[in-house]
Amino acid sequence: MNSALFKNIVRFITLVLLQILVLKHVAIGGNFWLSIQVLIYPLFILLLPFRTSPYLVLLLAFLIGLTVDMFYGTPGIHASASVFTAFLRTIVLRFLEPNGGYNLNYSPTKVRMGWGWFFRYSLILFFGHLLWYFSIENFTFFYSFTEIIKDTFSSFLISYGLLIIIQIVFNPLD
Amino acid sequence: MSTIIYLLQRFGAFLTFFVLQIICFVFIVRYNDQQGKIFWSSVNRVSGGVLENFDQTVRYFHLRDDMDSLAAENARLIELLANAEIDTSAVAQQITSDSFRQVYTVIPCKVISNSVNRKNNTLTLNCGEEDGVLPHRGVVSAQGVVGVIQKVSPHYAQVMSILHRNFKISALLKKNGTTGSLVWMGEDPSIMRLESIPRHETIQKGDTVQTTIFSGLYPTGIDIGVIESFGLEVGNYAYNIDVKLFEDMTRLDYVYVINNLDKEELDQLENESGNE
Repeated sequence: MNSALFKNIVRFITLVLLQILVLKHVAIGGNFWLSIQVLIYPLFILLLPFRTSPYLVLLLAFLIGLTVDMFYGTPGIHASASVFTAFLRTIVLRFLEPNGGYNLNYSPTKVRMGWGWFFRYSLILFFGHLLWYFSIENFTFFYSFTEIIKDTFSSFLISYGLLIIIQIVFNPLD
Repeated sequence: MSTIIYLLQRFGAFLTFFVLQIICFVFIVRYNDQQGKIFWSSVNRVSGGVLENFDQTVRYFHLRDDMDSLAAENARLIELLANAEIDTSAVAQQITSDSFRQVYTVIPCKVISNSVNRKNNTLTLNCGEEDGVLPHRGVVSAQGVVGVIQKVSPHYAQVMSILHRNFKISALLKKNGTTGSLVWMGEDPSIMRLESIPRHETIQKGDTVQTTIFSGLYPTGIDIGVIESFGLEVGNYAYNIDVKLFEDMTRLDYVYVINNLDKEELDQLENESGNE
């Protein structure tokens, strides 16, 4: 319990720092046709242990979203996306539940659950996060639908690639 | 109580999600410029539409008062216009307010009865002696000349419409100032005949016909109509000019009674000189 809590706190801090110090400046936005945001902090929500209650997941997601928002100067946008991802996580986990049920002590990592499962899990959640984020950022659905799709895909490729790299490099067990 | 707990258990996660999203939404709309602008412009469009429709409906109930105040405003403006032409200063250097005498007062009235299809048509107005209306005063509308007051009672007045065989006022052509008499032929309620324009004058179709002060009924320059057609029969001294009226006599609503304050003085003077 302690080590899990500790691990998650460290993960929180590391990912937030990585996001605000490094990735914030990577964003390509000057050319208005394409707006790429590299987001890595949703990984925190993804890797929370199985046994965290849905309410706690929502709350933690809100917190990390708000923290990132504070540094990005966009109060509420990242928070909204994170809360959505947290909500989605509960549903997706229920969908992807293997036959024996989850071992509640573990976390949904690739080591515990295998690459295949992890791909399905992270793909859905991560894509959902980015989609919601770009929808809020544009805030109009009527004029910028193509905009949202475009931004989501381009950001997704980069961010997801980074996520996979981190998974491979750090190989988190829990 | 147990159903509430049951509902909370089943949908608790969604509720929390919903609440958190509301909080996020408030943050987003309040503290982000672009999102705030988009949100408020959409909200304003909806609320504006609703309020405007409501206002349109409510406005209908104020129509009567609006019309009355507009008629009063018009009377005041016509009065200003009519009186502006009178300049009695004999000395050119002196321009004080005394030199502009108040000669005309204008009373707004509503037409409560009208006819256009008889040979001699009359109107009835809802103002009378108590409002300052006296017989033999000119009546105009926003578009043009309407008639002359014939009889008054304390609260009502009867007007000889211009569409009356006995109606005859002097009118002038705007272009060259030639004066003639304006009468109604008794047929078309939108056409009157301008007589006594001598054949040596040049006439143009489309020229405006206006009132003169010679009848003592109207101030100069009130529009009556335009020349629609004119003809000259062989051997006649004057043209036959058809004037198309500006005012649609079938749709009279608010009219203005022109009270010439000097009229009694003028009448008296003319009577005296006539009797000599």
